[in-house]
Amino acid sequence: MKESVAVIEAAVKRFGKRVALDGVTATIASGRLIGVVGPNEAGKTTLLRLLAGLLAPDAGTVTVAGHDVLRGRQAVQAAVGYVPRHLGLHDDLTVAENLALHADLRDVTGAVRRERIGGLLRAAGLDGAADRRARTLSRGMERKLALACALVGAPPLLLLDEPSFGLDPVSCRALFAMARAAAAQGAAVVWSTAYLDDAERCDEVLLLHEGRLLAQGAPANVAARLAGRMRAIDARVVPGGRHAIAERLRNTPGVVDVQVQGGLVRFVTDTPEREVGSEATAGAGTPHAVPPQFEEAVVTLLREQDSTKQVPPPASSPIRSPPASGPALDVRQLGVRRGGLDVMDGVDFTVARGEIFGLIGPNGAGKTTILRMLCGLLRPTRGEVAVAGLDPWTERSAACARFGYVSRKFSLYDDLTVIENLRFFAAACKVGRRRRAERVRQLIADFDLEPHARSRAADLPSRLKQRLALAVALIHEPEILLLDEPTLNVDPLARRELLRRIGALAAGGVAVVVASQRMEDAECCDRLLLLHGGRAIATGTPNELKAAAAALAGAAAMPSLEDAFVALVGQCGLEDAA
Amino acid sequence: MIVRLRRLKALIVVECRLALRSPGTITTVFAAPALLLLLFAYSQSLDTERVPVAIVLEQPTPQARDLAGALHNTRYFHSVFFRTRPAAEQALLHGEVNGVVVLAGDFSRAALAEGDAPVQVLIDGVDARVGRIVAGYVEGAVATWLFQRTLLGQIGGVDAVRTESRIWFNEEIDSRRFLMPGLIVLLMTVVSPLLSALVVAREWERGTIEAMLATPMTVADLLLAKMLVYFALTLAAVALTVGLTVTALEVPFRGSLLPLGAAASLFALSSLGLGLVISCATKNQFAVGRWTLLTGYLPAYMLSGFIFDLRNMPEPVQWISCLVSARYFVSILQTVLLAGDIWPVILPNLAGMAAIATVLLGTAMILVRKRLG
Repeated sequence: MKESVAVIEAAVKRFGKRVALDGVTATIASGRLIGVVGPNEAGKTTLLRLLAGLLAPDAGTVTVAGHDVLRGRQAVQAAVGYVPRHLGLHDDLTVAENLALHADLRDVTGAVRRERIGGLLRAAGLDGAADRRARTLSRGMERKLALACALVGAPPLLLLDEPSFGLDPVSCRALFAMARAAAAQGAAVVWSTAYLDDAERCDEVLLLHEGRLLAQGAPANVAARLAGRMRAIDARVVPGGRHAIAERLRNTPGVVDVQVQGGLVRFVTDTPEREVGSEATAGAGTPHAVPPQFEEAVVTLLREQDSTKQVPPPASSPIRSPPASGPALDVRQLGVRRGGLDVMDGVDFTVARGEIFGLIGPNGAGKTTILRMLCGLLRPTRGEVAVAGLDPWTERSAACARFGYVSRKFSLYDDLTVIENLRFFAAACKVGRRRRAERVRQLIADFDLEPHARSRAADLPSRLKQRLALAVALIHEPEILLLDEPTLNVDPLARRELLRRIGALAAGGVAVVVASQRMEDAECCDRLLLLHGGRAIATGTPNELKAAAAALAGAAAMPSLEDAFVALVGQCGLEDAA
Repeated sequence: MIVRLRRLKALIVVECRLALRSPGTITTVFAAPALLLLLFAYSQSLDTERVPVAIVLEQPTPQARDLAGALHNTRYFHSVFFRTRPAAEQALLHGEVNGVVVLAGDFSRAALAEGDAPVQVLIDGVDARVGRIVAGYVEGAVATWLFQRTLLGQIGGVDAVRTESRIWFNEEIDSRRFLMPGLIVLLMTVVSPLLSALVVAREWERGTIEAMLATPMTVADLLLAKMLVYFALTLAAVALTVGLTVTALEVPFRGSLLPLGAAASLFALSSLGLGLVISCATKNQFAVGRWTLLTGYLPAYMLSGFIFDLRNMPEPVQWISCLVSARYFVSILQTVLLAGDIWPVILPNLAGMAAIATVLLGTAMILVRKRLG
């Protein structure tokens, strides 16, 4: 065990009635990368702010570098580099000026200062951008700059509040490499995240849930808690049936967690001895034991914490009328020209009914642009778009009746209640007057929104907001569903819930398009389109993309989807846009 | 100590850069106030000139014609002549004229024989202010005419006693002179708190304050640096607007720079304090804009004595107005520009602003500390 840089003992923090941290005890060791993981409102930010000396604990003690945060605030802050969630960069200062400010605030002067700033600019890949204003940086670059600012003082404790939020895998890896380098030089790096694949890369994780510490240890050790309880079924032989098998498994007693990953349906049972009957797995192979993943261990731990928050199974038949023949979406040679540049060129794809289609790619690849064109919000410069056979630009109102759209920010009316939002969108989507009340009632029941029906949308936690946003998009029983980064802001449980609903909708014949940054989401898609710089660089099932990446590297073993993503994007030769 | 000073210097340099680079700053501090001031000055005069009035001459006798001519020749009226009363009343009803002056058929006889000739004045009272002004102008014009004719001996038996008024501080009764100091203050009540509040609110939103507070720097350092820069900008804005008023708009400057500077400084401190309080108490830039208008601009508009005279207000309202720092600044600026360094007026007003600035800045400090907790 290395030397510890921070010790948290039975720390409690309340904000009014809400208990943000409820007696957390942990030790932060030097030279390690520590993931603080948990759903939204688990207490991650509060824990980081306590360690940064920005908050005082209501009970318990927090000691950083030998100083109590209550008494030695300045000494604590001299030992801490902190990157808040909003980064805290000055937009109107240049990259170099931002770094210089932090050097001044931390009293880094002389040769050390020059050397350190130069080193950090190189490490962040920003040496060519030193004179650019911070506001002109890409999302990945500004994260790296914020991290560099926190590193200027060479702090023994580095605190990063959700640094990878909304970041694509390529940029995320670069950021991670910087944090890893700081740890190698002896700093303790605390990386908070709601993404479990992020946490899995850390040396150690602290799993927080509702202010309490659920688990602590190396990700592999946490995953090992599921030893013997993890099985998988190869569902490749029944394409499209993966979600149906998953749904049958979910309704099987003794099955705690189920997820679709590539061609596999993986599930966790309550005990290692539990046998799963063949009726649940009919049509597919027999379940075989697989090593548990960290993500599954965390989801299972969270599930077992509050079994009360179980979600009712999604409604089965969402399709109003038997869908017409032909593909749900047909996009040919799509191109967009903006400011004399082809920001998108030659994108082709079709989406069949009942298919889950994933649009993936680094930040700025054009995922949202495509969704906006499918919605008729943006006019393509070239090419053709057919939504259920209609042109969304010229036949907008007819096309609108056929698809539902969930934007990244959910587009709900914050000041309307849940039921008012549903009623409003029912009217806006021209749901017939008589059908409207019935539809609203049905969706409230399906999405388990009854207890919150009279709450204002603004007051809902993000997982319920997401549920409501999806309900709103389905109000007119569309045959196509378009989702923009649906899992950006929700915790692992809410993500599972969403993917399960999407699976059920697809099984009912709805064509679903998901634009996402998260490889976990991509794993659930039937087919993927990998975009980069407005061009389609690969398409196929998740396994086909992995195989393509493997062929590229000349390797026999299948890479993870994320490795495949990074390899395929890297192979394009285009400079990492982030 | 040296470390702290160096830190402060770095912060001030950064604040200056941010202020100058942010595209809104120059517009907010200099261009907008200067433009608004000129616009206001040329549009918002309370003086009324060339008011359309009807003059009814029932019998064009020499005396009546003489008086009508006197009325016609003032620059305050644009007169139209009628022979009968109903025609003039029609014009009044249609809004073509704001007033009717009736010189009745027996005007000359009454004036010459009895020395008691009635002049009827009908006024459109819809706009009370214009109405009163018309009445006042007519009275003044008739009185002047009467006085001159008495001196010339053309009309006898009229009591020659008259009021002779002398107007001080604003000899031409040019309302612009009275309004300009108030306007300057009004503009500053928007510019100054908005400037500080928006910047700080944006920094809360972008997390820069959070990031900087997590360094060994203290809240006091950060606020001091911000205050110094925005203090300087506010003073510059006051200097610009006062300079413009005195030079381009020919408002006199009878006092000296010392009381003006002292007043502007205290006003700047209280405004920045208000801005900081607002930005710490609200969540976003939008709310900052709204609260700045509600707590800075509107009270200054209504309770600073800028247009509405405070002495005519009910006592409770007068008490409330004591909380509005603009009120003190308006009073000092009016004094310094139009009268001179009248310290008995200036000192209590300075004290009032100092008290408000202290309370607001203290509150701001407490709020910043609390905000993260």
